[in-house]
Amino acid sequence: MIAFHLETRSGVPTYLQLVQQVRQAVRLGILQPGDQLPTVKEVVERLTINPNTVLRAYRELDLEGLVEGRRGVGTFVASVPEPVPPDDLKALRTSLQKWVERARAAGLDDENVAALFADTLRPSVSRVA
Amino acid sequence: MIWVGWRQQRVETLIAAAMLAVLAAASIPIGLHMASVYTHDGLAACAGHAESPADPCRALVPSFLQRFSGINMLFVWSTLVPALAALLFAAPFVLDLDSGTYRLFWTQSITRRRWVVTKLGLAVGGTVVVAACLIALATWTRAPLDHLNGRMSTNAYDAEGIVPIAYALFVLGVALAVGALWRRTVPALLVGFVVYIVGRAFADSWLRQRLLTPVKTTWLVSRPGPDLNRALQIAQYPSDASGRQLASSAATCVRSAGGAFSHATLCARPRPLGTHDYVTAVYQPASRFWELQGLEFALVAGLGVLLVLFAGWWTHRRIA
Amino acid sequence: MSGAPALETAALGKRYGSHWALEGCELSIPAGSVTALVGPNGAGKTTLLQLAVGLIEPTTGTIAVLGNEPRAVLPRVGFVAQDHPLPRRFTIDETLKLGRELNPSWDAALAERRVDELGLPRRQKIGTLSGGQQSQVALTLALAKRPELLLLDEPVAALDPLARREFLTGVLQAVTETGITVVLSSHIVADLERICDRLIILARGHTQLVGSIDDVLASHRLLTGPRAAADAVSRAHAVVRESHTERQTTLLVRANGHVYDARWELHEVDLEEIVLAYLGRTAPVDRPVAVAR
Repeated sequence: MIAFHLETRSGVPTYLQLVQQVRQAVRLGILQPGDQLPTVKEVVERLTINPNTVLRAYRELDLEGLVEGRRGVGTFVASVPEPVPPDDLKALRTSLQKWVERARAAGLDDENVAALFADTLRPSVSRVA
Repeated sequence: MIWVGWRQQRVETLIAAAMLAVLAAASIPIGLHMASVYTHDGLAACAGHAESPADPCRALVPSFLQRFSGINMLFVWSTLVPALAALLFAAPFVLDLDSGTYRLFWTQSITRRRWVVTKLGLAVGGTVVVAACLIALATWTRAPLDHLNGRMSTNAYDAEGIVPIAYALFVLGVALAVGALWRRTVPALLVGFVVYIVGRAFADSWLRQRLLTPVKTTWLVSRPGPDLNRALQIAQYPSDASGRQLASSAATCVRSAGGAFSHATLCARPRPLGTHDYVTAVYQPASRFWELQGLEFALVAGLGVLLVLFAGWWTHRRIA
Repeated sequence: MSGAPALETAALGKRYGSHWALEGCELSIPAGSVTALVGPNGAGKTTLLQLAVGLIEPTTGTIAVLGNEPRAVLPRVGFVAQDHPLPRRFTIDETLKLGRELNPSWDAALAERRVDELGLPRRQKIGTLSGGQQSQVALTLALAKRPELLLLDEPVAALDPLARREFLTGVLQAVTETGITVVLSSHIVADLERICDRLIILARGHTQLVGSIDDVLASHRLLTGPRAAADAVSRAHAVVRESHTERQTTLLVRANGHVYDARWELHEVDLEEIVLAYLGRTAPVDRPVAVAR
């Protein structure tokens, strides 16, 4: 069973910290497929955080395929996903490099490139007004 | 809500009951003793008795009154009990406003009106009960004295009849109204007490003499006069036949012969009465006891009830 | 989070004498959310909460609680006033009885279970309890009537850190179990992000910022760069706070989209900084900043 902790001053949103800790635990083998994650109630009790935050973290992990929620029972670590085929990765990397070159040519420095990328990536979770 | 209101008033109720108990403990034994002396010494026959020099009552009665004068004093002070009880019963209501706990009560599920009505109802009820207990105690204990001296003098009038209830309600109303406006407990109770003292003094010295136009009687000194003994005497002076007061040089002291047990007018040099001297007395006769009580009650209790209603209205409508 | 808003105001205002404690308040708090009402003392937080619970009446505008007049839905709203007023002479048992007598929807089992789980001494008088214990009793009173909306006025201001933590845990557990909507006011800004999902910033009687915390964090950026005027930036984005040293300018900005300006270095800002920036604004209040969603 994983025990969550929070770094309040890290600047990383709470739900993301939980997500990252689960990913790390799976990577390290602390969490095996079939293990149950702490219930929302347990996490709230331990960390004094908003239950919606916990739900959101678990939902994100569910979307990633890392965990699956079983209604009325809890949230469990799913089987570890298949790695991405190396050819796919290579193709993705190449097209990304081309995009970065275009962005630099347009006058964006590294930080702005990263920000644009992050902005585009994030809409799956939140929108800017 | 009634349980809540009662629970908040529990300590105050116990204190009020204790005060009554102390009063009862002080007065009941004396009352019993006084009653038995009254019967055994034959004073019962002396009540309202026209006096003749050979009448044994002439000696018996003053000594009886002397012997039990303590009870008179006791019941003068006893009228404080309903007033203090009224202040006690006003306290929980004002405390709720003062301490902010009204914000708790008004955000449960009951209406503000229900809270106000219940709390005020309990306060009024408690006050009336305490005053009624005092009246019962005073009336029973003082029975022999009242037979002899009537009930119009302060130490009887203020503790019997229905007037004590009126003053208790009045004090309650003042404390509640000030408490609702100011929302401070100690000032509200203090003002209530002060207004009570002032009100009583006012009633004693001014009001009772004027609620009904007093009776004015003039009579020849040698004749028997009206029964002033059991009346509320306002003034008594030597006069001419039409009731005009004699100028002070002509009137030294005239000892009135009217009534067997009247308060002897204190004289430096009393001169014997002449056959052409008249005496005039201004008084409220004993027969007016209930009429006067009723009028004073209507006035004072009416004022008190209005103040209680005001306190309720103000609290209900205006407070945040 | 769906359905009618738990609390909604339109042009809500409250005046005391010549002073407007709250003015032009437009809010819509969705059901199931945990909203922080933040602002300095005298900002109007207590006024807003007291309007929501029917203790005071609006001078202008309207307020709807669970779609109704505040006093009509009192049985469905739990409220803990500032300093958690409680009858000091009552024992905890008697206080729970008070709750039962005054609330038709009282859940006695829940109240007793909560009191016992917290280890509160049932026979002890309220006046002898610690501040933390008293606040827990007050919270129990509010939760045991099974409300749909919980309003808390500075519930943890006077508590030590442990008591504060325990109180908030209790509130959040209620949210976990029942999906209750919570609005809690505070002048303490730390820990907002972990506890609340929405934010209302009030200052001097006006709302300064309203929105979900995610949106607030996503849309505010700190811009640093060599000393320059904020004009170019302020044309496209709202500048919340600007400060200058001799050589450097720092702007806190609510961005409309990303700021693609090579002159400025972008930083993310944490919630506390953002809130403090809004609270510190002395500029005349324009239309409150509402972040969409």
